[in-house]
Amino acid sequence: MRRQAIAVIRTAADLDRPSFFLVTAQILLITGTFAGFLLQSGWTVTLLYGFLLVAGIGWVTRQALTAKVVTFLMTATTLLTLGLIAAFLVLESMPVFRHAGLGLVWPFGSTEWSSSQGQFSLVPMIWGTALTTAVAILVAAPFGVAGALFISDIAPDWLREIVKPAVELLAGIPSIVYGFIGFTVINPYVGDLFSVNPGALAAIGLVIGFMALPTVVSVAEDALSAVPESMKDGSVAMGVTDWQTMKSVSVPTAFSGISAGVLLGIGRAIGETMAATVMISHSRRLPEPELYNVFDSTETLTTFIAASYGHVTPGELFWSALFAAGVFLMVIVTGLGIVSQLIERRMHRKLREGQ
Amino acid sequence: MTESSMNTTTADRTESDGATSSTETTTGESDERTNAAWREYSFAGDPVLSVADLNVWYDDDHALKDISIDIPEKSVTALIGPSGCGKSTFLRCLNRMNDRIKSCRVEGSVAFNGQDIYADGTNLVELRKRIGMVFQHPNPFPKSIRDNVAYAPRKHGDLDRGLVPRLLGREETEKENELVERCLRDAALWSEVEGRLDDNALGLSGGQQQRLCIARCLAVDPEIILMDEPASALDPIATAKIEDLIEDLAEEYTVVIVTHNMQQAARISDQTAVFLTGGELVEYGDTDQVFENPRSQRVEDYITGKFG
Amino acid sequence: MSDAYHSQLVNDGGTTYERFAMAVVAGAFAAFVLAAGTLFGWVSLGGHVGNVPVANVVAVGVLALGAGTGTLGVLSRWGGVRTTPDRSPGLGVGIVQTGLWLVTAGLIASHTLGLGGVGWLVAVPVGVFVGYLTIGTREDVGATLPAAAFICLVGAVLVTGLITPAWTWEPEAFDATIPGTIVIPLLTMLSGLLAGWAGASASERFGTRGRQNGAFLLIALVVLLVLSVLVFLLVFVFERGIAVVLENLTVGAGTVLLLLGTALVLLVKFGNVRPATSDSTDKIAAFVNLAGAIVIALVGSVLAYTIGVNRAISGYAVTIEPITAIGAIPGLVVGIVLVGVLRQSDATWVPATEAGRRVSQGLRLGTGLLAGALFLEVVTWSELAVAGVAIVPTLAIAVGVIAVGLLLVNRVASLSDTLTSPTWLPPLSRTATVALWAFLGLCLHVAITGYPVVLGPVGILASGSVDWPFVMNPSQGLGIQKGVMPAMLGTIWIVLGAVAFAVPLAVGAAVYLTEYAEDSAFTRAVDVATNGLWSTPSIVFGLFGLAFLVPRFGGNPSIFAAQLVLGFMLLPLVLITSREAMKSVPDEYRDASAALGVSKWDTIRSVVIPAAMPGVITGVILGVGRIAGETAPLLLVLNGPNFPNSAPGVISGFTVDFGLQPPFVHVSNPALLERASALPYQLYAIITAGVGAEESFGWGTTLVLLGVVLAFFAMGIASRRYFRRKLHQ
Repeated sequence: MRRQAIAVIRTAADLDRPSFFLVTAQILLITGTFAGFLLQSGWTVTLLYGFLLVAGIGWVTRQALTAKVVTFLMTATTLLTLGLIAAFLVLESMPVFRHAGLGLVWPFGSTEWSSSQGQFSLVPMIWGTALTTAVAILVAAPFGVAGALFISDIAPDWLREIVKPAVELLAGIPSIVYGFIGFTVINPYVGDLFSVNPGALAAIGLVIGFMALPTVVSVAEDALSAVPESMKDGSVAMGVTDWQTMKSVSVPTAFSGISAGVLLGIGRAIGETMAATVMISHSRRLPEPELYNVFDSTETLTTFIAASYGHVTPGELFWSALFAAGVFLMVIVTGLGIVSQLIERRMHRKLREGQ
Repeated sequence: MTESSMNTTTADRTESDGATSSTETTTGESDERTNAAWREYSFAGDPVLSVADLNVWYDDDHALKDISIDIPEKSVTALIGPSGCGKSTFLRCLNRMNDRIKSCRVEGSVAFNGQDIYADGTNLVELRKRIGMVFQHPNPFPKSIRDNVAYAPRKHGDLDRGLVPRLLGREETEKENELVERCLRDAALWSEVEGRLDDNALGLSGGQQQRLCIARCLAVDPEIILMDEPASALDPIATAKIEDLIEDLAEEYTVVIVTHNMQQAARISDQTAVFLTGGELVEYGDTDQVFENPRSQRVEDYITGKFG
Repeated sequence: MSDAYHSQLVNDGGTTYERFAMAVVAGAFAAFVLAAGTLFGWVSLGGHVGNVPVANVVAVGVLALGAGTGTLGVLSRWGGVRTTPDRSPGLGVGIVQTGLWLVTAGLIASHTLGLGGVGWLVAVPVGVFVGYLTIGTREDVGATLPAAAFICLVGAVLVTGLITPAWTWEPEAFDATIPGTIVIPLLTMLSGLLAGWAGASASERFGTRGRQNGAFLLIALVVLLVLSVLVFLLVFVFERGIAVVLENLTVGAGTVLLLLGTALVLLVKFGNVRPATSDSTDKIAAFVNLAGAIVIALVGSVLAYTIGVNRAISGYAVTIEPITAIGAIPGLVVGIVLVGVLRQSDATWVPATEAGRRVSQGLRLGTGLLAGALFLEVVTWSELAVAGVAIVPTLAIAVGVIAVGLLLVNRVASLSDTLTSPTWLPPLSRTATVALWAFLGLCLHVAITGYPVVLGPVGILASGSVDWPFVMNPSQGLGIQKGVMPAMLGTIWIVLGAVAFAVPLAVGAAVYLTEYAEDSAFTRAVDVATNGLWSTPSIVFGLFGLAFLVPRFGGNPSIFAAQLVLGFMLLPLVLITSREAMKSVPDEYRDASAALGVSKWDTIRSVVIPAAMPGVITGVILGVGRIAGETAPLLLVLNGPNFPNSAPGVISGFTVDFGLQPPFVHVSNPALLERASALPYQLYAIITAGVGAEESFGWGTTLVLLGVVLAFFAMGIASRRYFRRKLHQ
């Protein structure tokens, strides 16, 4: 950080007077615009015009410098976005945390949800998410890893060129399409077959698992393909079969990458909204008669948000509870995403060092 | 991302192994064909490998042309030639590792103890158990030194170790220790790693890694060991150790070694085969004769450094 | 050398034992497929084959499978068949058998024998015992006999009628009824898996290669399963939706011919249509392309015949009218595509002679005048006419006739041996481009003014050439067929807005990160943030939009808020791919440019960005595919009417006011700040409205949505493949 600060100061000192003025004006104006927007000030747009004007002048007179400043500001946007998302979610969820405290997620107290009686507990939703995710990952992890092995190490060229795009296409099917099929076809089928109410968590988990599958396949396949061919050659050249090579060399070497894929798949399954929303029953209670009854239907964190946004007004505790659910989702899923990315990067670095 | 990395590895190999062009070969061809007195070269005993009319293509690239050569057992045969002459490709044909390169097509026959290894129904697993290979760049597995050496015997079911044998009371720790020690001794690595068999093999130096790969290969107890420029990535001291080792190995194994270092070939080999650009075999004979009195003008030019 | 030595190295072809093992695999596969078929309802367990009930056939089949599997093991161990088994089948097989027998014994003890929870205690030693036996015996026995015993047990239970289709099981913990109609197929599928795995292993005579065979079989089955679900899903949606989507579609034959012609040109130009000279997947693609070209040609001749006999064709709710005139909008689209194609081959033409220069200038003057007139028309949005003569059509027709004339002269000259083509003649691509521009101008004119231009049988119509109710109608209105037009326009506006917002930001950030930034805490934080944004659930983006954007833009959900939210989602997708693309630009390019004394920014602008453009475009296409199908955030920030009766008027909504209060210049567009619908949102609305009568409308919407999204994905994947191949050549 310090080195960078020094570098910035040095760069600033090297600038001639008009350049210095331009850069300062751009940064001040865009900061002002952002502050104005945040505070809902009437000056926001004026400041934005100002920034555009100065940036325009800069573009004409000092293009290289302006480009550097503007691209830097664009880069900062990503950081800012994530920060804003986190800040606003936490901010909006504060009232319900203050109202219910730890009871919001405490599984052994009252787990009832009744907004009219001021009873707020996210436990049924968290449990619903856990159950569907468990079913989903039982489908996505083994199938996904098998698919990744098939694409990277087993399939001949011509087959790989069919399977790989097909899996990517699978990733492209919008979740609402799965939801529509789930609602019109799967729900009635499962309901008739097992004589249960529509929206069985097992069925939802299956659908979600299938949706998380392409993520697992592509990340795990990336990791497996990163295992150097020379290492596999070394094994095969000793008369060891391809399958043994996969089990003893490729998979252990790429293990962290594969687990990153599974983690990302879990994240996808937790964050999946639409298919579950249209299939589930939205009854905010724990499954009965047993907690693990996957044929019952309750509510998950995502479906809770998607189904109740219309019934609440800003400022209510209910409204705030939606954001509390959002905070949970963000912490878990975004966290999983970041962790899996770090694991993956470490594996690639290790492989590069090993060479 | 993955696709591209796959492609580059294949491309790299084709580049390094494949013949660069076939245009310039026509000039010397007639000369070699007529003056091929070396074709009468013979040695006592049966050949362990007998190659006949071997042709290799990478897509449309004709990498090896009509190679015929017999290799005697329990000796060191060196394959030399400029880069891109196809000598590595030839080596990889001998245990069918070229099958793993998608664009590669092989015609002709390679008889191993009289059995054509390119016949239908060849058991590649069995073949590679008997014809081992050491690669240009050391490629130990990211496992312990012990696991690296014992890897193949365990996979082949020759050594019982792990959870199942322990459950059944069949664990053969003693046998394994003996095997690991013998192979590491044979590969002249034992004294350097004796106390740290459970360290990760990636922590060894390049030369040690390469000798570990040789030890790993010996553990399978092959009849033939193919070596693809095993010392090219190593420093002179490590190279000297590997060379000594190869000479020792020749007492028990048949060694076929690719090298672009002519001094190395002259030092360690009994027979030398010279490949020249275009994927042709231009001379084959006793090492002394090839280096001191080559029958082909092109080989003499190459050996004396006039081209190559 | 002994015989055994040789036979180990070379297999002596298929023995009876191997063929028997393959037969077991085939039988197992058949059982698996049959059982899956009953789950999908294609085969009924209650039906009959001849006089025998299907359930009995299945039972006997399973029993036979079990016997076959057992025979494989017995023959190998005691029957004198030469195999190469290991000393133990391995821990994995042991664990599977332990689990299998534990569950089997547990269910039998606790439910069938009525021991309750105690039954499971009894089951544990049974499972462990079988597991221990499995790993303790030689591989050929351990891999086959326990599996065979299980399969035989299943077969026996089915044969004796202990479990029939009418049988049910009601476990208390699940509050559900599990019927025989699902237990029988599931048990059969499990038996099939076990028998198939054992058979595959035996067909390679056990040992390492046998285990590889078994494992590959299972993995291939998994992949096959996933692919068949994909295909099934697509076919299912297509089959359900296509009739709704195409209902009452009416098109003019001329327009169809024009579109088909363009498709043919594109196919021949870009697709490989020579299967003889290509291999592997390219060969398949070439055959498909060739078949497509032939089909297009055939359909084209049928259409030409229709026009000739002046009769409409109709079928499958689609009507093709025998109109030769073409629609202005399809004409515009085709013209733009063809101009794009021609640009690739349009070499710069530098005429050598004075006459040639004059021709060149003349052509340039003509197109220039046309462009000027068109510009005026676009600005005023009305027809430009002098003394009752419309300028644009007259000009366009004149230019077009001249260009086509030149083109014909060129062709004739090149066909004949005696004529040498005059030096002033422009090359084919130039005249064709000019003719196309004239055609485009004419189409644009018709589209703007609404007056058709007709010359005899051919002409360009403003409307009526295509009538596609499902795509062109609103989803609510009196006495009309429902359509998805408002939703479609909503999606288009939202995606356009998101792209306009996110792509410059993402590309700029990628430039900064790859070209300017050094590795520091800042770049690492940006990396983490990008990955975090990439994996953040879409509903969280929706909440963010609801809390942050909506109050700042009018206080109610709006198109603008949706554009920004989807833009935020698009940002990491495009940023990651753009960065990847810029990183893969070789440093040699940068060095070469820098060595010529070009400044860093100029290098970036003129070398790095153009070289990375294909990757960036691919990323944008894939990203758009993803956000176009995104629904969850739209619930929160778009939230329009379930069945809108009009589309958002975004184009006509812009107003600009000046004032003394900040912000002094006030640009506003009320249409952007209104709630609206979008394709995925429309589908959600149909579901919440209770499907019922709307189900067919829902399938139609699903098909359109799927078509739009998958078209983007297919384009993205194809473009990535195309550019990657180019890079490797």
